[in-house]
Amino acid sequence: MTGFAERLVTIDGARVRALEAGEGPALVVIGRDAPDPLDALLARRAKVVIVPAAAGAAFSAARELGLDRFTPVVRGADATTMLALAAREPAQVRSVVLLGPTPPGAELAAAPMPVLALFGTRDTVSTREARRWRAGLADCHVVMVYDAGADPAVERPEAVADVVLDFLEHEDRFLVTHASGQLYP
Amino acid sequence: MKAALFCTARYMGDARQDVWPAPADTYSAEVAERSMQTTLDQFRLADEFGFDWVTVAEHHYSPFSLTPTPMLMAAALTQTVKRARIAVLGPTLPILNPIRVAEEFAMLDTMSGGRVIAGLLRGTPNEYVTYNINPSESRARFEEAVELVRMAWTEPEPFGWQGRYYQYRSVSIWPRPAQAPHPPIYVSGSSPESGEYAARNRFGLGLAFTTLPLAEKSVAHYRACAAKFGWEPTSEDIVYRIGVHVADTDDQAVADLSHGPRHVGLSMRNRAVESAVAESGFYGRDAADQRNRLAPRDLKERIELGQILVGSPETVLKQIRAIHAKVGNGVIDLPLATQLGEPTSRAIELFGTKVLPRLRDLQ
Repeated sequence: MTGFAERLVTIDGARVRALEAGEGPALVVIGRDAPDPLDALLARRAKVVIVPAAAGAAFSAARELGLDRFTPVVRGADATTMLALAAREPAQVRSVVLLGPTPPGAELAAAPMPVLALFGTRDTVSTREARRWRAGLADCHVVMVYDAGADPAVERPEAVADVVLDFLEHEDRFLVTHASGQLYP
Repeated sequence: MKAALFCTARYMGDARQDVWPAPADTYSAEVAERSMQTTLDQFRLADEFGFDWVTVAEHHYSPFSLTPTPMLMAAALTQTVKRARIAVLGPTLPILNPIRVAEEFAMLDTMSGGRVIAGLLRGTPNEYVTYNINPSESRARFEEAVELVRMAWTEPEPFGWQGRYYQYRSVSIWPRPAQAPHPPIYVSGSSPESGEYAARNRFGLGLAFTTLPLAEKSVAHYRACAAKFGWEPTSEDIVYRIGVHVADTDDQAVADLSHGPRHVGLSMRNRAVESAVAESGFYGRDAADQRNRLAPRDLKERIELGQILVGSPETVLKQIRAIHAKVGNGVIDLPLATQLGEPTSRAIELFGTKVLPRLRDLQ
């Protein structure tokens, strides 16, 4: 994937290769070692940092890279871990983006920051998961990604990037559209 | 078999019936008001004479129908039709705001005590001009909108929607539908694609302004697809829509129709629009059959092809039995073939008293 630069960061005493691209509010993607199409789309309007380590490493990597506050982008089991960490260190986490379902029964920590949770409409557990997230968190926005399954980021990256960037820019105020409806001046 | 009376709220004065959009240069507010009142009276009559459903539908820019927003007419019917179910067959979903459609259906269902039938349709080709929607996207918009409507009806928690054609940041409708989980859904099933879609989603199938041979083919396809998806439609899952005019004798019925305007379907009132929509791929993979069913025909041919019921109660009963034998429909949806005031009211009475009781044994 073009546009991503290598940045070495120290995690648990070891030097690890992180990837970084874009300018703007910081998104930290956890648990991968290469960018995917969604990351490239997000990097058009955000600083995207990809860290090939578990959720906890996002905090030290972000500090080392000079990011005062960041928004973690998480999937699966990482999501619940990240929520627990964000609840403990809310000053560093601006908001949280969840992509797809978390493991059944996983506990959701009461993180106080805005959360955007995306689920695919073709994912059979999505509505049940969506209700759990909305009920369990103080400030959770559930968005259903039409015609996507368990991994909306892979299946419909353009649609996911659009809503994530809108949320990143406006947080809770993304409920009100900022897109112009004017056709011609 | 159940019977539905479908009235388009036809404008009862002088107006161009052969073009679309129709100019309003001869329009009279007084005639329009009388037309609306007549429609309401006829629906009330249908309710009294035992019709199972009353049907309204969306059409624009034409004296053929004064219900561009059928939800408004249906809202009036919730207060005047006391017994029959109220079928909105339907809103033209791809040209509308799906959340608005979900809200309006939920309102109607609540106002009517759970008597609403929800037809979710793509409409006739001309409707894509009305609100400036590209017909080449009709099917994709439709399928997304249906899923969104169903989720709006059933999901108790607020949700956002990131679709291909629709985007909402927060949806949580009030009121909710009275029927659980939601009103019965029918979709149009003339084309193979529509039949497959209906079967995949376990929706009822509506066949409108088709021909009997084509309907037979469509139903066989729908049933075969349903079997593939692990279910078997009941007869009530199949609605056959056909124009009707009943009089005391066959000759009288034919004579009555000669007073009405020559029938030209809405789709064929603007050939340029119809051609452009056809070129967009709107009709699907058997476009030739779909366009052919809409072609203007004389009365005799329309009767033979199963496009209109005309005659005495006995004759009309025979025609309906012949249709049922071919397509196995459990519901017959009957648009009034003309709007003649008293003879039309008489047609409703004759159908309700002399035909409808004898349809009940058809399963």
